[in-house]
Amino acid sequence: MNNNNKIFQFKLVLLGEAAVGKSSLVLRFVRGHFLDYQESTIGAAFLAQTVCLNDTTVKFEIWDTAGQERYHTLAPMYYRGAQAAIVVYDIRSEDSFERAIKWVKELQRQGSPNIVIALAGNKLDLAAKRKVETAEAQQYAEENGLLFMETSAKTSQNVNELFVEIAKKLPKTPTTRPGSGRVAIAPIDNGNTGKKNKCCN
Amino acid sequence: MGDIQNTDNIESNIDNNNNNNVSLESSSSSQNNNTNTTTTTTTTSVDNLQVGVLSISDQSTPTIETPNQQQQQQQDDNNRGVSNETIKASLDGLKHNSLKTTFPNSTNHQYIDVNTQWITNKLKERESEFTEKRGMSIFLGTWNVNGKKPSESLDPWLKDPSMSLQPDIYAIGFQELDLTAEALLLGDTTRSLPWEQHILNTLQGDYVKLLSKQLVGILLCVYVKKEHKPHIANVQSDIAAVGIMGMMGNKGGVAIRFSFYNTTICILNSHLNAHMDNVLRRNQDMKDISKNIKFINESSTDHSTINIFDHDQLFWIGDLNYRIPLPDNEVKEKIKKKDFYNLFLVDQLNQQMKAGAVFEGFQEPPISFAPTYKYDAGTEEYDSSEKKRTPAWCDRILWKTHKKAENVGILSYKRAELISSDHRPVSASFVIKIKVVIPDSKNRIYQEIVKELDKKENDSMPDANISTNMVDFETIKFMQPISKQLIFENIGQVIARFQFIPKLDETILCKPWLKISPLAGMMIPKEKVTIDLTIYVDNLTSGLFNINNNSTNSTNESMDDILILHLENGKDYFISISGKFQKTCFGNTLDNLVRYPHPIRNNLPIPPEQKKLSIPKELWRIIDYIYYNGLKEEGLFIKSGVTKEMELIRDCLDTAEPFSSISFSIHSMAETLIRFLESLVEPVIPFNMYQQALDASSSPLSCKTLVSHLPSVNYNVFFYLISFLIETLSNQKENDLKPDQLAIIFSTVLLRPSPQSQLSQFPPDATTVKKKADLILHFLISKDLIN
Repeated sequence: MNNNNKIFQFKLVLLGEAAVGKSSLVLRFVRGHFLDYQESTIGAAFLAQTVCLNDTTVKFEIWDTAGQERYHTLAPMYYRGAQAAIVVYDIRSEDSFERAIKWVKELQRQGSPNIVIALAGNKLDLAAKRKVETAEAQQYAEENGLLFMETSAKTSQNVNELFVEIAKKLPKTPTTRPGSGRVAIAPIDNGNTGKKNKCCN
Repeated sequence: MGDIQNTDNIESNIDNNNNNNVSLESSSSSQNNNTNTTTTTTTTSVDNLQVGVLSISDQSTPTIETPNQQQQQQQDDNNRGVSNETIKASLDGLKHNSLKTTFPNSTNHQYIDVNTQWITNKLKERESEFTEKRGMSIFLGTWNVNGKKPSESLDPWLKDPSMSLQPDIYAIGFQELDLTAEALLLGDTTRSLPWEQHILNTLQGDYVKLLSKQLVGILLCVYVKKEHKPHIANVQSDIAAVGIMGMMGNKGGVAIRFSFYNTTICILNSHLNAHMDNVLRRNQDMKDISKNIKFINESSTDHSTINIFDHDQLFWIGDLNYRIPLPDNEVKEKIKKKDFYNLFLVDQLNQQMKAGAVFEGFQEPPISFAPTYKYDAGTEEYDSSEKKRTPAWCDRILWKTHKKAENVGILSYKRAELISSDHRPVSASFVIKIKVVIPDSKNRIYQEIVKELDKKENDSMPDANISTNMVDFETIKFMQPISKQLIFENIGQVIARFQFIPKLDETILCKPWLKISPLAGMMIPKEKVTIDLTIYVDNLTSGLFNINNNSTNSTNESMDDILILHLENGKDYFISISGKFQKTCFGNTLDNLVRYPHPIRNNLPIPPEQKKLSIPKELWRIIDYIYYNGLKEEGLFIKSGVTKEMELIRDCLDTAEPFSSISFSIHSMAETLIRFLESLVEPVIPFNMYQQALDASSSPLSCKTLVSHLPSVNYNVFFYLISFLIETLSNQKENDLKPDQLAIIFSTVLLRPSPQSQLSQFPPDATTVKKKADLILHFLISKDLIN
């Protein structure tokens, strides 16, 4: 067996304003389906999905986060230790694009060094109501070294492609450890205090 | 353990144990005993002496090493190899310099390896879906050369005119290639060089050597057509000695295994023990060799090994030494008549195989040639010496096909008339079905397997449903616990373990006024758990909300938190907690209360010119009420109040409603006084004076000094309260109160240690209680102390 036999595992986090389609992108990618009324994520959902490249296999452990602003302060729990991030906006919303830029800046400031960031303009199926021009986003992405794609979780356009591009861009070094970004159940001290297990990758 | 050519992530090390039966486990344990010697014990391996060795790089792409590279390699080996062990190995004389392998520390093995292993296994199961069968030919030759050096052309043996195409694989085995003591005792393998060169010359340029392996006089060389070399992987060899004392290499076997496209092939060349009578010994030799030859299972991550039978195709060649138990002349007679059939019927190997005593499951092509042993060397005459050894088919070629693999096609089985040895060489050619990977199909199936694994993994993650992510407690009152329930239900397929976890870089799970129960738990599928959330604001936490300031002007203060409920190996749930704290004079500070002229819930801004009140208006209202309505009440401060009434009184205090609007007993008001003082965030005698106060309690004068040092508001309150208590005691006849009773009751609330302080202990010890009471008692009985 001289291909595919090396599996590299990476933690990937999705960030972006509420209702831009983060969960829908993940569910399209992982389960291959789309719900018209996707419940809003209040928390952080975890799923695994593998991408086969020509010479390697990349396994993503995907953390889909809550987009509502009130949970913003909890986001570092999920992007800390992530080797890849998809920052999603809705092409129909300037605000969501502005918010995406803020996320990118936060990741560049506080995320893992060398984190691979992809900017995804979602809801491409609703391009008739577009407010964010492709060129504008494209230019921003280029200037900041981000992968960029406009996607549609509904039609699946560019969804796999987005993850494949990220998989290609991630460094396949022998030191890549199969880590888990999950938080392990830790022993409880007493009362209201508990210990937090550090993410191990 | 086998030699390994693919050195990816495997450390090579010489095994200095002369027992070739050494198992993987004992090999690694000896490694552990010598952890510091792993890099210094490599000695020259047989393979490095060969010309044009085919080695497999870690990408499984075979490369031909040039002689220069090999010299370099050997130099490196020598540099590393000068060690006591090397010398010992030479002296010991039983070494065959077999390169053994050791493994990385098992702690290096990761979760990912298990996944990879699983995928590899699944892929193997579905091999037929992504491979096609292609017929390829293999030539096997065996010759006991009786210690002779090459002298005649090998063409008659190795070049088969009946084969229209050149074989894809050549496997050539020799026995008694080297009968010298050096070979037997010192592992000298130089005698093989001219033979290997002779073979390469015979095969000409179309072939490359895959590997050769030697055990004393037993040599096995495998060559493949150049075009196949990129499709060969996992080339390994191993040896097993069964000679003198069951361990010397004069008898034994040498095996080479490799993956040829997707088919695994193992070839074993052996020289079994001699003599007519040694049938059972030969049978045992075969079994011992089979058992002792082992290879690393490279498709596994768990250090497991495979044996010769774990291959699609197994070929066993060599001088098996089985004889024909008939009188010499009778055998020779039958040979003359070419009556091989009747000779074969009594052939020991044939008999033993029929009886199932040896080579179980092996097959041999029909023999249509004369016995190959024993000739007078250099002649065409059978043994003419005194011993007159009866001719026999010592030299044989057998094969065994794995259950799942297809059988082989026999092209030829014959002997060649080379006369330099006392044996004639034998050869066999077969067509074998080789599994060749169709890359597109393999990729498709690989992806299917990986997707299936992802699906299973995602499906087996715990999943739960929480009844709500928003818990609003609405109005929260001081010292009035409110509970709300969450229903957490396991809606997944597996057991769900949950736990509330702190936010990043925090150690507490939630705000101090919130209690969660349970903090962690487990649910089997479909099970529900009720999680109780209780908000309770006491005087330890009320300060967070009670203090009036000009920046907020709401009646109530917001209480917010976000809880993180974590499912082990799964998702996290956020639960938002909200509520409004109803401000109250309880759980407040004296300082805040005297600065704020309005009813506490009114929350109007403090007027800029506002002077501080001398004592909190709420305290004045309580004492004023008792003064006019209850001083003569029996059991005042002793009898309990009614909780509900005390809550109403508190509302009146906070809203400035008159007490006349509600009805309550005087005892509820009396207890409200005690509760009010008790709830103060900092008591009338501040925390930092607590120890001084205890120290002063023995002397009335010291107590007076202490009180004179109180902050002015605290002093006012203390003065006011003591005056009131003295007044109360003046009605002793009616209310039956004793000074020491009041001293005990009020000292506990006026004099408290900081909850963070080490002095804070519950219950307080009797000495402390007495000291505190004494302090108050001085003021109650010596009226001049506060004037």
